[in-house]
Order: sequence, then C-alpha cells, then structure tokens
Amino acid sequence: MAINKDILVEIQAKAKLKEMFSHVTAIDEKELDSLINIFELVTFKRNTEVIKEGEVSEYFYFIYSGIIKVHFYKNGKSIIDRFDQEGAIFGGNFTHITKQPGSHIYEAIDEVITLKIKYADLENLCAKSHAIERLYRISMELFHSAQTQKLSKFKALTSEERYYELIEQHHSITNRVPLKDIANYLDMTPETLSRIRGKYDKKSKY
Amino acid sequence: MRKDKELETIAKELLIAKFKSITIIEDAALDKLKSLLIFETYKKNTVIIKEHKPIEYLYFIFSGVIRIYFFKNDKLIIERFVKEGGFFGGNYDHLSKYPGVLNYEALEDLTVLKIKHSDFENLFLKYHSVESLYRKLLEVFHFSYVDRLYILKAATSEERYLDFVKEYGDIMNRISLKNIANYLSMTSETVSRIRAKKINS
Repeated sequence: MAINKDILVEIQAKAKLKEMFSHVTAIDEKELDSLINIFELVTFKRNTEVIKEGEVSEYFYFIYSGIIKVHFYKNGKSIIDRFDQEGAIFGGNFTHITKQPGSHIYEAIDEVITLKIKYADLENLCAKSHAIERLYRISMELFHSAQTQKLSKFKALTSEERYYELIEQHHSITNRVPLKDIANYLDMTPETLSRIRGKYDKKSKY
Repeated sequence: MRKDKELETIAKELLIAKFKSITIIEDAALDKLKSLLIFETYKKNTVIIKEHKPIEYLYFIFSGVIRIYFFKNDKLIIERFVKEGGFFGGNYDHLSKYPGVLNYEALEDLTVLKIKHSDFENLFLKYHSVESLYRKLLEVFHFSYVDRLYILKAATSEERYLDFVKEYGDIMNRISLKNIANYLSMTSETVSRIRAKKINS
C-alpha cells in the first residue's frame, strides 16, 4: 500500500513540475515528458540534511512540498541564508560544475517531498534536445534573477523591512519555521523579532 | 580610426576564442555571432545602463572597469565591480515583475563588445550551440557570484576586505578608496586602517 501512495505522490509532483515548466516557455509535450520522466521522487524526513557541508552535489531538487533551510557554519555558528519552499528548485550551488566542496547545508525543516534529477543527465538531455536546452536556459535566467534580487535587497533593506519581505514571499512561513530560525535569517534576536511581529500583527488587523 | 579597427579585430578574436573554450560551436554560428557583436567605447563616468530603463544589450568588457550600483533612500550603494573579461547587462529584469534598479557606470574609459538581446535571442532559436553557450556562461557566473555574496553577508569587515582583495586585487589601484569603502559598507577610514594592518603584517 505504501508503494501505491508513493506512486500517487510522484504522479502529482510530476504534474506540478510539468505545469511549472510549461509556464517558462512553450515546449513540445513529448520533449517535456522526456525531461520529467528522468526525475525521481525522494522524500526527506524533518531535520535531515539533503545536501551536507562540503558535499559535491550532483542533483537538482524540485520541492513539491515542505520547506528547506539553506545555511552554513561560521566559527561554529549556523547562519541562515534563505528558505526555499514549494515550487522552488535548489542544487548544490553549482558545486557539480566547479567540483569544489559546497559551503552550504540544505536541511529539511518539515517533511520535504522532492523530485530530483542528476545534473549529468540534464546536461546530456540538453546536448541532445534544443528544446530542453532552451527550457533550462530560461529557467537558469529566472533562477539567477530571483537570487540576485534577493541579494540586492539584503544589501538595501533593514532587518525589519526584510521581515515584511519574508512574509510577503512566504505567507505561511511563520507557522512552519521555528522563530529562532527566522530571527537568525533576519540577523536579529528573537526578542526583536517578537516586537516587530507584534507591530505587524496589529497593523494587519486594521 | 585604423587603430580602432585593429582593436576590434583583437577583441572579437579573444571573445570568440573564449566562447569556443566553453562549448563546441559550429563555424556558421560563430560567423553570425561575430557579425552581430558591436565594438564600442565609452568615456570614463558614462552611465551605460540606467535604472528603470530596458536593457537592450549584453556587454562583454574588453578593457576597463565598471561599477554596478543602486539607490536606497537616495544613498548610492555599490553592488559590485566588473573588469576585463567579464560581462554585464543580462536582460533578466524582463523576466521578473520588478523594474531594473541597477545602474552600470564606467569607472575608466571602457571598451566593449555588445550584442543586442533580441539578436542574441534570434541566434538561440537558430543555433542550439549558441543557446548552450549562453546558458553555460550564466551558470559559471551565477556560481562565482551568488554563492560568494551569500557567504560575504556573514563576514566581518576584515574578511570582506580580504575577499575584495582576492576578487579584485589586480584592479584595486584602479578603483577609488571611496568606491571600495562604499562596496564594503565601511568608512574610508576603516578601509585604510585594515589595509595598513595587512601591509604591515
């Protein structure tokens, strides 16, 4: 029975991914299926590391459900860079290209259901199919653009402004991510965060 | 005039050689690419791309340094610098819902090869290899840039200075102290202090 449930989830996840890709660019359905078919379903339990520190990650992951915390250690302290949730794609920061060990850790905050693809398989498919190359090129641009915008904002916004930004981007995040992680991400104490949240909740009530 | 023509030939040869080292591209595509690359020079302090304006070209720097900055509450904040061999003007803003907020300004006289995004896109449609080339350029750029900047967020002033030296060491004396300090979000005095310390040690 468990196996049947997995198959059902895989079908749903692949349908979701397919829908997402078909919004990126017009693509022949057969070509798109050739890509979707090589994705594999993988589920990670809460608090497990999907990509470990120093790992050369060979996969890209599409998040079907759950939240991933992206962080790294500095002088023994964990520093959170971002959260990725449903619909996001993550990979080991292109460590597969440079073959340098990655500094970031990708950790499942709740149960995370993903579809993964081996980077080498994607590269092979890109070499064979212009349509897939095109889809990947545009996806890459979107990914790059989203990340650089986040970085620019980081440089430009105050912690409080970044809190509002976070809420805008991930509506339900405060219910799903421990407050101490959100405070870490915003580079503030949990007390400051509580104060800002109190203010925000009052604002959104009226 | 003659000298410009020679420089243009050298710049194109160099860039094409770089492209060929990234991926296999057929001669027909390379010839087409070469014919679409426009050689251009800009005087120091020219703002090549202005905020909120559509980005028409992708630029490959042959010589010179630019700074990329945006404004926050009227304060100018430098995001990064790009030097010879780098490229800028990726037309990603049209993909997102945000208007472009970045300005690209020549810090020295600048020589570039530029290509219209619409021309480049047409080449992508026609030549699989050119689309692949651009994707690979983007991947490497993304890795070298984004990952580093994330790590830098948590760095101390001194660590950020060291990273700056590593990344821009060869062009450091071409960027003013004021610009360096702005990029590092420090005062000029702090930069001078760290610099003196590093030289002494």
